Amino acid sequence: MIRVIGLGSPFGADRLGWDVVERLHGRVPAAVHLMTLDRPGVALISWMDNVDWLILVDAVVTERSPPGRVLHFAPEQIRHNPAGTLSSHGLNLPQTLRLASTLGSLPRRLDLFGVVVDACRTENSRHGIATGTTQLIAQLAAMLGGEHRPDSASDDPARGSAVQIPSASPIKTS
Amino acid sequence: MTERSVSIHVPAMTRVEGEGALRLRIEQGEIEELALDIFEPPRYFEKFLEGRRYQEVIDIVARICGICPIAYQMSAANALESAFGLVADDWVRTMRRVFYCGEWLQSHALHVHLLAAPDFLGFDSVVGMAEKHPEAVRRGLRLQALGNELISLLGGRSVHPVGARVGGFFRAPRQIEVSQMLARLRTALPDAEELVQWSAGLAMPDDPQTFTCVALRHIEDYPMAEGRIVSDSGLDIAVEAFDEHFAEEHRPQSTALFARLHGEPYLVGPLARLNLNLDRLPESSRRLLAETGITFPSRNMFHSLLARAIEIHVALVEATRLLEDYREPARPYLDVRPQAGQGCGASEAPRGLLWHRYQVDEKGVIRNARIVPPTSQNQARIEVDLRRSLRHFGLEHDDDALRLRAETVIRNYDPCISCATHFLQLEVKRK
Repeated sequence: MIRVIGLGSPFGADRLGWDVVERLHGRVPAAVHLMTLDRPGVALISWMDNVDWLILVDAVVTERSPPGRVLHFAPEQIRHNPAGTLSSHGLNLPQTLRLASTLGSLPRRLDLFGVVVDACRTENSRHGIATGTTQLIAQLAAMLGGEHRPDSASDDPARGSAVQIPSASPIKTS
Repeated sequence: MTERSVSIHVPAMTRVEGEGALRLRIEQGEIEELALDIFEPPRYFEKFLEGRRYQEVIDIVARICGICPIAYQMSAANALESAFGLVADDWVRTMRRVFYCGEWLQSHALHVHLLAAPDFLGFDSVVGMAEKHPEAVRRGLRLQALGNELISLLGGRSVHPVGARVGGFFRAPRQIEVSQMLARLRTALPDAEELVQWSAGLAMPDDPQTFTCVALRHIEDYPMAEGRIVSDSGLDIAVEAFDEHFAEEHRPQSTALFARLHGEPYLVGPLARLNLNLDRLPESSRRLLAETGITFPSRNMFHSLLARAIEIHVALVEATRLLEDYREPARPYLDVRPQAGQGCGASEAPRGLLWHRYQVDEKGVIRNARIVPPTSQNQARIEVDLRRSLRHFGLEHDDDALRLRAETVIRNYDPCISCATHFLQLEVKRK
């Protein structure tokens, strides 16, 4: 099964993942399961059962890329991101993916796509985020519509971009 | 006893919620300085509530905590209904208890498996623990997920749920939804039974100590969303009398207030609840606890983990019992008629007693709000515990061992520092 999950709060800039998933409806095959989760923490792991390819979509906050930049992270990049503090309010995404990996729960393929957002939301950044969101939706629709299949990531349209993980050094992608 | 000087500073504690730190200075084998620093920024929620209409309070206070929003919602609902002279009907009170079961399930499952257990099994984090104990971690994830589902049943969603209102709920679950939830609750019961035995088998430091327990006590059930405030030192008061016995004070190292009962530190939370309410446990939970061979009331603070495990069992048993008799109501709430006055409300958050007081005007607008969360009530107790636990552990241990023991003691309380921070008083002296 292929599953796309939009992550984040349903409010404010963090609802980007929700927007992307909502706009993917009707643009991807019916077999692709689209859903959203509000800051699930470790509960994300329970949504990995019986999934072959999991695509996570989230808003990204970083000062190293301009608002609207579409980013793509492979699982190893996310998992090796320096961990924040483990809190009773939930593990962050890298910690959750490390735990899922240890438990053998990771899907065969996992991709995280993000669009850089900013808290200030100037007119320029708003325009950039809207453009980036539309671009990501088109990329995902193309990937899921037939041009791209699991295990054929070599021509992944997002690869090659200057991918960064928040609070981490820039990471070179393949 | 060592004669060395030791200075340990844990600048940011992990596996607790919020921003806190610990300062420990040992001179000539004696603890000269020990302080739990809380530097999470103040959050001003009580001030935010002033001028808001009573209907907004339930959603606003849910934002205080991402893991115990229901506790905040239920204490607020109790307080506002008290101010308006409204008594919730049986259906609402029953569903509030079910709602609460969901919160205990998810919060306790997360703390036991992901935050506390690594301390007792010798791991830095749950990721390392999962390599050796994958089934235990999976059990924790299953129970936490079930708790979230139960919250969603009544709250619409598990994060900052939106289903509750003053007077009841916005929506009653359909019978089919309840039937499906019942099946999942029954399936999970063996997990909870196994968890209790597993928790009892963890190697805990044997370190009995003296402390005062404070919790709600319900007329017949294990306390969750209603009851009187009692202690094992003879306190037995109505929720409205909280202020007459408990006082909060500022400390320079903390943005959270320190609460005291008659001038002394006290304990709230699962161990205090269990110690004070053993006779209110469901029969099957009581039997399960007896089978562990561990005697309660317990004076070993580390038995808090076992108390959480038992409360997970209580939550499953209670939610099942209450939902088995479920009937869809004609309407899931009572009408509210605002009136000027003051109301107090309390409930048992996963971390302990959570007390609210609101003053409202004749239109139902909040004029004053006061919230006393469990972590600020436990702060003074944590410092006392740290001081004596480290002495009992042995100050001659190396810095890493002392640091780990100190962190274990603090994590044992499952502190939620974000909940506990308050607006700091500002004192200006002018010449």
